[in-house]
Amino acid sequence: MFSVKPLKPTFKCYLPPVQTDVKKTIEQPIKKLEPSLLQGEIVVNEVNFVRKCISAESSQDDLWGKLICTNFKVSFIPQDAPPKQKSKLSHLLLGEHDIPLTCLEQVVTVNDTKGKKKVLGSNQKLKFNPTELILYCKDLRIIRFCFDEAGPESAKKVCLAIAHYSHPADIQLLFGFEYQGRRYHESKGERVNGSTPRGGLQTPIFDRPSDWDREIKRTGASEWRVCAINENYAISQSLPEYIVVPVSLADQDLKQYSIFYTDQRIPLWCWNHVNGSALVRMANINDPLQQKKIDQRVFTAITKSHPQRGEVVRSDLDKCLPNIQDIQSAFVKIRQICVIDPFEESEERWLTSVENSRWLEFVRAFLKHSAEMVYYLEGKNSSVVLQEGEDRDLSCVVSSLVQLMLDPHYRSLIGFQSLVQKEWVMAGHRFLDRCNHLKKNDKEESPLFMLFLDCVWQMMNQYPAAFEFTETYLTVLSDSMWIPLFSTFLFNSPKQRAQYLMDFAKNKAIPQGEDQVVYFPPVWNWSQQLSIKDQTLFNNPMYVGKGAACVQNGEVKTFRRTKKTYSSTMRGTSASQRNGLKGGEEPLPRRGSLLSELKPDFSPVKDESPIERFFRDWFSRPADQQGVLIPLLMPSHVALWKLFFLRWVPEACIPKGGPITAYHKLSQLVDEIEILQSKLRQYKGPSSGSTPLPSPSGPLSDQRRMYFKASSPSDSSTPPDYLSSSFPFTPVGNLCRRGIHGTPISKFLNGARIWLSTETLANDTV
Amino acid sequence: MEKQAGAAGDGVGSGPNRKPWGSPTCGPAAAETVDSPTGSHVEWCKQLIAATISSQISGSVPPDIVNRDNKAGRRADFMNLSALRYGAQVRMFQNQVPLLPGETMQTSVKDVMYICPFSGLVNGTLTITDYKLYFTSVERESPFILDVNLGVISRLETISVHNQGENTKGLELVCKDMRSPRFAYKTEENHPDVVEVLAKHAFPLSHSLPLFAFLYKEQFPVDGWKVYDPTAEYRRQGLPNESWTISKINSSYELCDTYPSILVIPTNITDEDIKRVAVFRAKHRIPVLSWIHPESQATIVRCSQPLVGPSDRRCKEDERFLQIIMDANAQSHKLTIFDARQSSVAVTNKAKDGGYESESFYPNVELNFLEIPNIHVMRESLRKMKDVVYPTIDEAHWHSAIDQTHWLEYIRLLLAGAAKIADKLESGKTSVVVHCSDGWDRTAQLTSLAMLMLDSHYRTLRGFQVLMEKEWISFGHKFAARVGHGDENHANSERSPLFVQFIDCVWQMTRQFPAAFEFNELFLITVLDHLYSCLFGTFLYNSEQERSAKEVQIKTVSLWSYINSQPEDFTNPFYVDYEHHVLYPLVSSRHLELWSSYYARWNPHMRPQVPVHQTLKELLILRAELQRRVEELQREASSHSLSSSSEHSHSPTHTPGTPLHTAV
Repeated sequence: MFSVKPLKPTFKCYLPPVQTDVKKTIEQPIKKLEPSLLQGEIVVNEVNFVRKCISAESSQDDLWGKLICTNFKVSFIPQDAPPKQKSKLSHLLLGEHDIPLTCLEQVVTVNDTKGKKKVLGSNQKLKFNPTELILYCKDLRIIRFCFDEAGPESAKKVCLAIAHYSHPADIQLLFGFEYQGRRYHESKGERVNGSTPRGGLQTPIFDRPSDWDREIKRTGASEWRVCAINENYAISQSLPEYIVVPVSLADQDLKQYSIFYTDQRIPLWCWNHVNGSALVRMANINDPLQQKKIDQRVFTAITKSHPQRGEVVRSDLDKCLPNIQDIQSAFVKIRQICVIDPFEESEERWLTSVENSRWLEFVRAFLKHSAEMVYYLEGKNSSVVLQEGEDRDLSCVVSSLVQLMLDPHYRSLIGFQSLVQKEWVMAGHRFLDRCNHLKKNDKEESPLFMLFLDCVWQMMNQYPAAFEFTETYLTVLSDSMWIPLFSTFLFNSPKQRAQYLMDFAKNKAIPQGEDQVVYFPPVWNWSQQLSIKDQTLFNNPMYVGKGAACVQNGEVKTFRRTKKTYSSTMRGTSASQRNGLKGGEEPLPRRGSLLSELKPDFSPVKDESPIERFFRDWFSRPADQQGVLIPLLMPSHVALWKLFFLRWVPEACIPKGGPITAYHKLSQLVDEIEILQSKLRQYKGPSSGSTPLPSPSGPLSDQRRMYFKASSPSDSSTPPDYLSSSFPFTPVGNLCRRGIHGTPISKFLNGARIWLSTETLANDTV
Repeated sequence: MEKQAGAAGDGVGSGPNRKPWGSPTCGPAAAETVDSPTGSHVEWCKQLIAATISSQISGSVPPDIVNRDNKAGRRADFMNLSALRYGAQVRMFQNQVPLLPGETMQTSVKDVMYICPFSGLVNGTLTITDYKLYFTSVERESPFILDVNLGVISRLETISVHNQGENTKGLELVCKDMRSPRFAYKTEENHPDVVEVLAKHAFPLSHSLPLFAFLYKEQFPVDGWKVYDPTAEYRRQGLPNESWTISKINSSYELCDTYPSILVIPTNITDEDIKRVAVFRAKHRIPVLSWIHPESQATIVRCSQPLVGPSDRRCKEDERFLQIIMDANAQSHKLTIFDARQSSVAVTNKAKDGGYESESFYPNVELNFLEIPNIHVMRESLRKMKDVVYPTIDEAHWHSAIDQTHWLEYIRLLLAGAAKIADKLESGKTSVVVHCSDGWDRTAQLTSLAMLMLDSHYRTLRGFQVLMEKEWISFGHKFAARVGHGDENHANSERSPLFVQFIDCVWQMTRQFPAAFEFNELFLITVLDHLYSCLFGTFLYNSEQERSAKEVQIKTVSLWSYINSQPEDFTNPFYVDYEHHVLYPLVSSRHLELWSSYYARWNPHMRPQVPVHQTLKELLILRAELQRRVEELQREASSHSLSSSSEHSHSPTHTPGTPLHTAV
């Protein structure tokens, strides 16, 4: 249903006539500009007197300084550091002007006087001296440096170095392999005292049977067992070592079946509904002759694992969802209109452009398909098998969305992280290829994880109190994909991870038996990147506030998160017609029927399909944010994720506005509630006799979970001036397209045309 | 939360069903509501309106209640209950038609089919009163109610219905609020035709009948007519001062019949000169002050176009008038005129004896055209929008279809124009004059939006009412002509949704600054619903003069009486006073959205999800409860510690109360 499109990202580049008004002379640098380097980080090349462009219109805010390429990042050190902005997340590993090399999408050098441009790859020559360097980043930033006052040769060298080092020949050249080795040894002393298992990480990694056992117990999947046939990756190269399978299937059977599946990926249990139905994912069976037989056996086993012997529904994801190339090309288009096209130009017919990119359409398609799976699991008591060619892309998105909709546990921070760990990292999503960290094969690149995060955001946008974390968390998580220091997003499979980390441990003299979580940590240890204070921006006040306590009869009780709310009995049975959802595609053929087709003969709308009734019933009841959540899916309900797509766009930034102003007020309120609660505990403490009296200052200072604290009555409660719709990010200096302001549009177009015809095409070929 | 979920179970939750007029308890609303003589109506109104936004308030509102266009299971129970217990007071009709005080039944027809575009045919009883059309059905498992006030009807159309027997007629009610319900019914002899009865009461003015607002007998504890006192409002702005005076020159509407009786004009000008200026301005709408900047003394002045004509007429008094306005502001030696029109149109207007100020005759004046199309373009744009949102939408082309209506583009133009005006005052410290052709459509939109950006007072619930009363109602926006209250001439080209467009702009601002406005979305939708309903006198007639002649303030109820009798329902719980903050909305397509919870609200599939403010309200309740507990325990503790240890003495007795607005 989705056509395959060429997916090579194309960037329009606009070359206005040469700017001659920027002949600002600068003094010699008086102080030495030193980069701040991580352990193991070395400077490869550097150039002085570089101008970092801040705005397209004028050069007056531009920063002068030194541009440095290290083996980890591109760093710019301004001569006069501008006053630290309060409105920013301060990253512990990256400075304000730093870009990890892994985050570079395209390195473009420009020579304005000669009208030349070249996209630089690894090990290339550059025939002209660049006057400008434009870095297109994977996190959607566009950063521009000018070399009008810099030494031409040094400038050229830095550009080539950046291009070269951002195209590592081997995964082990990614900086994480250097950094984590050093960090491990240098921080050894600290760890010995009071070391905790797994370095204190609470998120299960699912690399050992106990994590799976706990998940089986938590979901009550008593007819499923942890199976170790893939220990040492004996069966499949891409499955984890421990998987969960039906009790009725013996190891011997599984081994026998495995040879027929793509990459020996036998069916993999994901999750169990309290009603007993299971969510399972698997790869295609290659041999059509065997398919029926094996399908039957596997499905029988799944049915046997269902206490009510519920039927098994198979969903072939390749047939009903866009493929990875479609997704990539949609992302390229939405990125184009959000950050690359000149702002004013894309203002006209904005919604049409958004529609044409198809990004939101795909987001809807995935949410919708997942909602249909929810119907089978929740409404029909059936087990669901997600099937996909390799079971490593679309399945990851759908299985994790289904679980987010059905199980409130995954809407907590730890739960969400365990979900990503289970359905993406351990299930063998090819992060290395899909992120294209080595920039080897553009055809394999596809932003599936980003698509998933967008889908989560849509749910969060519709059910703002249902998630423990915020959109800031999702955005920071997406940015972390481009920092090559965490093991989470670096590998294509658990096996690849294990191999590389074993070699790594050997090379770095890390003792055998040391936990890889300790020596090469995943992203989930957020203290690697952010201060405790900044991490509180991850906390959703509405979730925290509701979860903290609920007051009944004057007693403060801990909020009970009931699993039972799954059952529909809680919500009454009235079948009123509200918010009914349309049935979907394939297995549900009545697409589009409910809405419009009032038959000319006035016959009442034909009987709804069961799935339509299920959705209609569900939407007719108030949503229980701690129960099943199904997103609304009309086009009006699916919105562009502005924080992610527009945070760097200065023209789109609302000063003093945006959803953050509501978040600010909510946070203060929740903080105040928490202060009151701790006081309550304090007062009740002595009277009950058993609890020790907490210190008068309360448990507060370090445990307060809100970024914005309750203000004292004397303070103004007006949101602080630095809040904007981009908070906690700032567009300043992070999005610098080549401007067309001040140039008559026709002149600009002429210039572009001449320029295109002569130079670009020849030079663009990488 | 659990408590409320329980309440929802017995049919009437808290949510919008709360008791009227400020009691915070969330009791069993059914009984308490009807207890008060007027409560039933208030509740009913609220339910109807709430239908459109709070479709899924978590655990607190039984969803069935809040839906005009749908089955209303529990609602009917609640009706039954109240009919039984308080029948006398509520005045339930035999078919359970709730009547407003002053409302009378006209006809009731059985076996009518409602052709619901979302759930098929519904068979039931259609009742018509002099205020509304009320359709009920008990055919399906849960009862169905459709309630349409007659004021909202733009035209009645007969439609063809097939296969329903000989005597069946089809009827479509084309409404001003983006829906068109359709019915099929059997005609019977000796029975008055439904269409006739409907037409009579939907268009009372065309049938020499009074508007329903004059029959409505509700009594509210708050008198909304007292909301706007022009003198008090000008006093708030620091007027009169040495340059500006509050003039009674128009007290009997002789100078200008479409202006209010109280005007603020420069001190240094004689009545004679003013009269000459009036002759030179279209409809005699002379430049008068709308708003003055508290610091720079820069002013927003509004008027109509100058009658320059093809021969480039001049008027010395008009030129001097603008000079005086410029001089009244010591901070700037310039004056900026914003002409809302497209420059080409302004030029064409010269041929029709209108025109614009020539920069060569008015020294130091800068003229800007804001290029906003006229009322006909806006009407057409909204008409297209209706096709996009009702009854069904084209899912695949939803976004491009919205683009094609250009509605958001015009919203963008308006907001951009208003932001320019506000910025000229705030940053440029320069006084501005705003006009279009007559100065009662685009001018009202622009001045009121600019004032909303500049003055945080107008962002409060009361302040916004004052803004509408002042810039729109008193300054003669022709509501009767633009809306067509009670008039059957639906094709009248005077009609145009300019006020809707203004409210949409306000909504866009509330989306960008979710904490800066004291009122909520329900308030804005309520205002728009009663723009059409003819239930309240607020938006009736074209000018202050007409309203005073018809004794509107004596004979009808103000919409603000209703709103201000239960302000908590219309209050935004996120509100913090952005005092002294000028708020410029970001005028970009990226941030302008279709207000689907207003325009597309009739489609049950289109409703938005759990409103965030619900959660905040729960948190506010929680905080109040905790605060109460803490104080209680503090008292206990201090009485204990008098005799024993002083362990508690150093625990803070001061609670760090955030100065949050509490809606509890």
